[in-house]
Amino acid sequence: MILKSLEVANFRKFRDQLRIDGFTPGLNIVVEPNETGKSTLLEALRAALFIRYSAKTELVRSYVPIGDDVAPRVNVEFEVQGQSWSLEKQFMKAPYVRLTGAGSRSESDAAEEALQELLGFERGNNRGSDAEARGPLGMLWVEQASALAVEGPNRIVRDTVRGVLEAEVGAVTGGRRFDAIRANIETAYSALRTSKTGQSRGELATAELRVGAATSALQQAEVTLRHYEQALTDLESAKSRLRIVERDLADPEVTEQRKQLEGDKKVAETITLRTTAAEAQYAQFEERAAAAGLRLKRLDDAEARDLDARSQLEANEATRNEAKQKSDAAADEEKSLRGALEAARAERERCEAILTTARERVGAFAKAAAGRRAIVALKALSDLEERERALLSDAGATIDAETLDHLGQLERAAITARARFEAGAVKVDFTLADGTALRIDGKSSDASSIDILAATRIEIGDIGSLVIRPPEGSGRSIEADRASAEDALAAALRALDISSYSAALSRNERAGAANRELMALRKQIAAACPGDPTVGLAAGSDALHAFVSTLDESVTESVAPTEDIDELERAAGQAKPHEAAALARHEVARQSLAKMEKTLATAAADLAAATKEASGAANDLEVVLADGDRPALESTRSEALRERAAKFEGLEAARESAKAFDIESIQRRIENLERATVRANEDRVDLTGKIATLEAMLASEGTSGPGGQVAEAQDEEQAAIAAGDRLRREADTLEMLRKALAEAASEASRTFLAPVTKRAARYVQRLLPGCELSFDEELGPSTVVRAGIDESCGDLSRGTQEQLAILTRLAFADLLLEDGAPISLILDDPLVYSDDARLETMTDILQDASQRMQVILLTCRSKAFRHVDANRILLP
Amino acid sequence: MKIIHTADWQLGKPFGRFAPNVRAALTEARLDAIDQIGKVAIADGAGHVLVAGDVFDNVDPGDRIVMQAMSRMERAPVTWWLMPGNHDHARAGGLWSRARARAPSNVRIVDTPEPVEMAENAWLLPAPLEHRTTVADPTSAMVNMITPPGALRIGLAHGSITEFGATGESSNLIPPDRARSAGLDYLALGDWHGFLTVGDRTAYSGTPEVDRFGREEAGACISASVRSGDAPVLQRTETGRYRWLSRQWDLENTGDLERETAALRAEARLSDVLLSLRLSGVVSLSDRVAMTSAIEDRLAHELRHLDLDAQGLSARPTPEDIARIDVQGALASATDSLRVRAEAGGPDAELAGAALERLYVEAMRLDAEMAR
Repeated sequence: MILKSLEVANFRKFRDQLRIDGFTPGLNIVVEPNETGKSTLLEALRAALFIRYSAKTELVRSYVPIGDDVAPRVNVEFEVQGQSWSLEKQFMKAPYVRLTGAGSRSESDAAEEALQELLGFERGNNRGSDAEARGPLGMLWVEQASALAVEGPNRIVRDTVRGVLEAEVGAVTGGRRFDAIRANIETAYSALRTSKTGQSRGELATAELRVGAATSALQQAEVTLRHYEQALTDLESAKSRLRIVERDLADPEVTEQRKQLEGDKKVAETITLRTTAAEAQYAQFEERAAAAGLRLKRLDDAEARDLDARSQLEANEATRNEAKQKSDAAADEEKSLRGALEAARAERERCEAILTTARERVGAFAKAAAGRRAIVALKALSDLEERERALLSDAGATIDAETLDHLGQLERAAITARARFEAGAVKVDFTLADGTALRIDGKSSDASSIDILAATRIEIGDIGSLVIRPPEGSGRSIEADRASAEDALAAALRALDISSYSAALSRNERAGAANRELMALRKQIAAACPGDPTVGLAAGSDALHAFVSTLDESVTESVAPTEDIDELERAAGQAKPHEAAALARHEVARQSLAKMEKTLATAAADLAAATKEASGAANDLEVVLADGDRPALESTRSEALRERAAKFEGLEAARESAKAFDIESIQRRIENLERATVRANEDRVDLTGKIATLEAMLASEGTSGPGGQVAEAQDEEQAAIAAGDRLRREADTLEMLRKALAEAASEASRTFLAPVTKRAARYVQRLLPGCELSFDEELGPSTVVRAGIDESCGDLSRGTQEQLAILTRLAFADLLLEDGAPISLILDDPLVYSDDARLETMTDILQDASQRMQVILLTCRSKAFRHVDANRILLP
Repeated sequence: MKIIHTADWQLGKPFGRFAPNVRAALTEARLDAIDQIGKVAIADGAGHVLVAGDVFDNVDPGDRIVMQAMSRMERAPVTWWLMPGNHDHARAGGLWSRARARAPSNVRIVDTPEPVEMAENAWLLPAPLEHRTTVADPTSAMVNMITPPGALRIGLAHGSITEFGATGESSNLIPPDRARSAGLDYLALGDWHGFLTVGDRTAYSGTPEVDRFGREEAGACISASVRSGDAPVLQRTETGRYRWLSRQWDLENTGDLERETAALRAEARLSDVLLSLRLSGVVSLSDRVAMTSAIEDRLAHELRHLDLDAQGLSARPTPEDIARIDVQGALASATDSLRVRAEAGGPDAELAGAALERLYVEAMRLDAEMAR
């Protein structure tokens, strides 16, 4: 097939009619920048061929330029096997299709069918997604970027290629028969295992589950059986224990033993009674002997007490009398010492009073003297202070150095300004006749001299006038400078209240002298006010002024005291230790008196207690004697002791006989026998109950036949395992078979695809020397073998994938061409990812191919294809 | 005195590996044997049936089995003497307590080793087992069992005669001269599932209904005519329904198979036969497929049950076999690869043979479908 021309109108971005012609049978390169509609042209070509004129799908609606309401139109002129054809198609509004060629003309559906027949494709789904139906041209018209992955050709191409190949290879794979058998095997296999992972499913999975279930059921049954058998064992042991218990209960030896023990117990009880009576008698006489002994002891005690009490009473009386004497003596001593203390204290007080009075008088006199001294000092101070004030005034007139300096500067400036003024001005002196009027610049004047700085008219009387013009350069500014310098000086002098700078200097000198004198004067003032601590006067003139202001007239009136203070102080100092000694002596006496009084009180109390004890003891003795005298008591006791000895012998004999029959141990043995019987009876009840329980349990459990269930579960497990094994074997068999079939299929397709592989190899060798490309059963390129290593095509770089995709298309195109199919290869923007060397190889291959078929490259990269010898078409 | 001697009923045997219908039939047949024995007793005029152990298959069969057995025994107008064997040994509170509770009046359970008077002047000396295995001779007590002078002494025991030592069993051993040493007129034994006499006064009755492969004859019991002082007269009477046959057929062609099948049909009613069949020989693939399908699709359905082991029957595919799968193309090459692997031996040779056979079968099936 050779495309001759393409005309589009109202098709996407081509709103105006566009016609491209000049396609040649060989290699055509359509160069156009991006976005100008290159891909749209391919889309239009596809629309013209593959999309039915009457379709209204989304794809067809997308042909209409955005925002317009027009009918997209595509016209194509092409040649098939030397015959020219013209195809006109309009979509959406008033759609139509017209196919003209080979002397015929058809329209509408007939035209569509004729077109399909002519170019070898089938009616597709109009959505542009049905690549399977598009035949060779669908494969060979490659859209932008869609060739970047290797993939198999569409169904029609496959079938065509298969047809070609079968003719060429001569042997077929087995075709439908193989496929059917393989499908059956796959179905059978997938009923047992998943075809991808080989996991069990269906019957096999069920069988495996059954094995698991059977195993756990068996375990369960075995557990139940074990419990059941354990119950049987328990029952047996319970029954044998019950037999033993019952035999023990019926043992005649035990009864005999018990009877014997009961007899022994009675004997023992009799003996015990006898012993108890002997013990009571012995105790009675023991008690009597003890009572007699006690009474004797009481008599002894009473007599001893009476004696003690009386001697104690005498001793206490003596002690009390002695204490009384000592106490009286101490009281007298204390009284005399108290008198001495009072005399010493009065003497000390008298001396101190005299001393105080004398001191007061001396103090008053000293204060008056100090007051007088202060008044004198104050008078002297007044003169000094007056002089100080005068000096302060002078010293205060000091002009500071900065001001003085400034004044000096001002005076120098005034002198300079004046000098400059005098140098620049014209001095005019007048000597006028009396009565002659002088007018200067029209104003009357009586000046005798003026300085002229500007042109000045001077009129003297009526005689006329003259104008005096001072030289240029001087002027009023000089006068102004002078005036301002003089004004500044005058202001500064006024501020300081002086007449001149020299006056300021002399004033400063005077102030310096006053300051120096002032310092001396102040020392004098300080010396004149030393202060007087005796009257609380501080140093300094201020304190002196304040002190004098407080004085009154008494100052002048005081008389000098006559007392000898020292003598008086000495007398007072001696009186004090006298008093302290008297006080200490009195204190000792007082304490001694207190102690004596305490001793006296204790002695008195002891005496009172002894008196009472003596009377009590006498009473006591009297009472005791009332019970009987000593000889009577002694005879009663000795009789009781004799009796006790006799009873003791009886008691010992009784005890000896009791030892032979220990009633406690007999009782213990009887109790043991009873306990054993009770326990045996309890055991019998327990065991009987347990046996009943076990029998009931066994009777109910046994009905389900635990042993039978285990046997059944064992059989079930074996059967399940056998069934599982059978199915697993079947699955294994099927697995082996399907693998064998798969291997055979892939081997067959290798053989079968040899022609395609061979044609592709021609190209692949040029592009990738030393590599082999293989195809899968769907004719898609599957692997590339490079240096003996298999690589899946999907893992290759994008550039290589694209190149291989173009080459495989060329290989199929060659096969189809040999079969006489209408072939045209259109590549939209191909080989974008190719490096220069690959690009050159690829363009060489395409150039070769264009010897056999029309090849159209749509590209935006004119430079990339510049080296290619081809028919170039530039879009208008 | 006429008695029926039987043993090893093993009621309640589960037969779990069989198909449910086969299992039901076998279970039912064991119970039917009781009726059958009852009929034999009536026909022979025997008033007593002695069961020498293993009445039940295990120590704890369910009540259904116990009740089934009791009700069938009740129907026959004879006295049944049941003794525990090793499968159903006596345990306090166990199976026999339940059985006794459910037993009708014509069923007597002898689970203690004490002589019991069966009929006037006829004493039964039982040796019941109290354990699955006992090292001691269970019949030794019979020597000291005293019966009235001149009375019939019939021993009843379960175990192996010492002479069977070859089988390796060493428990429940019974000396072969026990009948003489214990002064027995007849010693009725159980445990051995076939009919066997030991000396002139001792016999195994065998099971009344066969329960496993390896015993070709049908199940039976013994009708014994016991006479004081004289040797008893023993008569084996068949009671069994199912035959458990084991066969090995060495086949060369389909003709061999037809001959063997015909012989089997002549030997027994196939619907009452359980067959354990092993095939051997080397045949063509097509023959093997034809043979296995003839067995599986026809013979197996005629039989009550078939255990088929066809692994010994090797297929040697002929060129014709291969050609019938396909002469060329992928199928032919898959066939060839499987054939090579099957013939090479090695671990998966057998599997490869099976795969090849399956491929052949699939190919034939497809051709048959195409032809339709």
